[in-house]
Amino acid sequence: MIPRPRLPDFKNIAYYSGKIVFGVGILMIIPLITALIFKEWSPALDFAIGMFTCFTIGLLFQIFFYSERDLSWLQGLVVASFSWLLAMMLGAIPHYLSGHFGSFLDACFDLMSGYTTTGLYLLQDLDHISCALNMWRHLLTYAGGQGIIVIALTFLVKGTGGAFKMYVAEGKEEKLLPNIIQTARAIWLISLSYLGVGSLALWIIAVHEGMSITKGFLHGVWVFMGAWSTGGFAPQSFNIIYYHSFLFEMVTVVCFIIGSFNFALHWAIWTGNKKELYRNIEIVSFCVTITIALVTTSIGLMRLGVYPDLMAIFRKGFYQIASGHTTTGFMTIQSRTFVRQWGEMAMLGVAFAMAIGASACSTAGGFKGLRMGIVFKTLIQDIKKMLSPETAVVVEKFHHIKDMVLTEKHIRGATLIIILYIAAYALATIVGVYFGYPFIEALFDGVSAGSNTGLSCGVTSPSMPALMKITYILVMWMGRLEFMSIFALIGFIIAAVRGK
Amino acid sequence: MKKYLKPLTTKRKFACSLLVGVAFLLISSAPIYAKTFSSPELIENANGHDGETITFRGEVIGDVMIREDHAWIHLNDDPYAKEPSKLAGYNSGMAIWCKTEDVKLIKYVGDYKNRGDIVEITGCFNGACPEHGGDMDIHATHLKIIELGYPFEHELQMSKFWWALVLGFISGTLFLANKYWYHR
Repeated sequence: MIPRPRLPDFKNIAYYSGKIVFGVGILMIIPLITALIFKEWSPALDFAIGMFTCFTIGLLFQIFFYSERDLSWLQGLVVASFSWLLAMMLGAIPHYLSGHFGSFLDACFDLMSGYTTTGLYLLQDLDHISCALNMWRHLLTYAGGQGIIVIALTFLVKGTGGAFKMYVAEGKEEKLLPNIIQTARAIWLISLSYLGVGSLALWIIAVHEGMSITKGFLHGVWVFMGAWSTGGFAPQSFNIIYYHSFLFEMVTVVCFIIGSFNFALHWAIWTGNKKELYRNIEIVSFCVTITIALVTTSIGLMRLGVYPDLMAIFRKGFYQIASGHTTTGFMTIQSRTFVRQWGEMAMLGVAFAMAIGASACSTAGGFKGLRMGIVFKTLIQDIKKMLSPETAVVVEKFHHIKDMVLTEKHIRGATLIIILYIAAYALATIVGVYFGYPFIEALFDGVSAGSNTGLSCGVTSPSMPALMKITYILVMWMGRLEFMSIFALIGFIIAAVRGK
Repeated sequence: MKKYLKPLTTKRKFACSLLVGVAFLLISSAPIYAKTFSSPELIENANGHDGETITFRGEVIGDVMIREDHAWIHLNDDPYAKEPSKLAGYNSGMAIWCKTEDVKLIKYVGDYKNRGDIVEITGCFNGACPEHGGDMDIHATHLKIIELGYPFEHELQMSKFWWALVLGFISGTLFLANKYWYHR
């Protein structure tokens, strides 16, 4: 028998969701100021409407469902998944009002893609959008990368046990500091420090490569936000090809690789534990899997003779692989080049990289290096067990911030989440194939959506069927929150209807 | 040997000049006859068109990035480049590598505030350019402005203004109410 949620449960969920929606409204102040600086009056009104709508709904929830009770685990999970849905719909208001979307669903698609740091988009005529809208797109990925709940924890929520439950429900488990509010602030400290340095580097290169000082600055900030958050949105439709600069490409690679690292790893290095960089299981796992993906893709490219020399193969191959593996989605080739020039083997190499993804408790998506490392260590343990006497006890260890003994709990958790990711990739692929897309193309974009990557071979476009857009929104959402929060929301709804 | 080297008559000189002139005209006007392609056609068959001299037309967007004697421009040939007010299609175009002196003709580049010049270029299409690290681009030899761009006029909708005002008032009231009831 499932217990039916009571009124205090609903009140608690609505109250905390209201706080998060209010936080989304606060975020809109930045694009609003951008619009005013660049005298973009119509977008300024779009953002004023969006911001005041968030404030109104957020405050209504907080007033009418006022609660002083702490969140339970279930409520924390439901708040995370529900508030992400609400934030998607309210954040899509300025997008839709801009007139660059065919429907409100398309605007919601881009919002979910932004929050989840995916980077797929349905926005039309990207090259004519306002600076304010571009700021909002990139800010979404930057904020989404840290987590919109992390924002609320930083400014709006008191440090309670419930705060930690919401934080975990957003797909992060690691506490950098004993207090969760301090952890949220530490995440922001790390991100804002890198924002300053990375944007400055990209700004200098952009101006050196022929852009004006103002546009170079904006592009520097936006591209950094897209790279660090592993979001993959770029200010122009040509994505990173637009800059035609090897140096610019290399700096973005550094930014998104660093951005894909675990925040706990960042914190360890910041606090002087530099050995962590080469001892951590996620970094080792990342190095192994990126090499496999790069070799596979390079063989595919060389077999078809796509590029004139090895340097071009490395420049194009490595960039797309690194972008895919860190689940960033920046591209230095045209979308359809994957299908028309790269061929299936190279595409499989990239899809493999996207499926695995980067580090846990980072801005990235996919299975995550930690889980891949655990699965690999389990395999090693099983082989050792087979080779050892039956009475022997085989203990396998791994290093992640500290040395840990591999336990059944680790193995179960890692395997379960990997299976759920595979199910999400399969769902997106099957829906794509159902609507008539070739298997490899449906798989490529499906994995890209599920792993929150954003590389596309041309399947994702405004003309794709509405059901496919909804499926992609669903898998992006599930992939970012790592499933459990969504299952909790579904369970909560079922309990509300059928519980006793 | 001498009989083969006799001086040219006026008639022959005229005929030779005419031949050279026609040949020159044919060579110099060759780009005019280069086939015009759209970006989807080029991308979908990049290997087939690799190395071909083609004509491409589109709106200049973003920035003109000058790199010494050459410059990068980007031409969009998506539906918005043809009909700015119509929301149809997706985002597509081509990167063009051209001479710096040619890009000085460009007055407007497309962005939120401007519709860019519509430009026609003729040049060599590269599916994977050996000079530019495997980029897909066109090395333009000719650049012509077909249609001058212009600043966009973005009308301010009064209905949006009123919505913003009303929502601002409601959220302000709720903010004060929340402060008064729960956070005194």
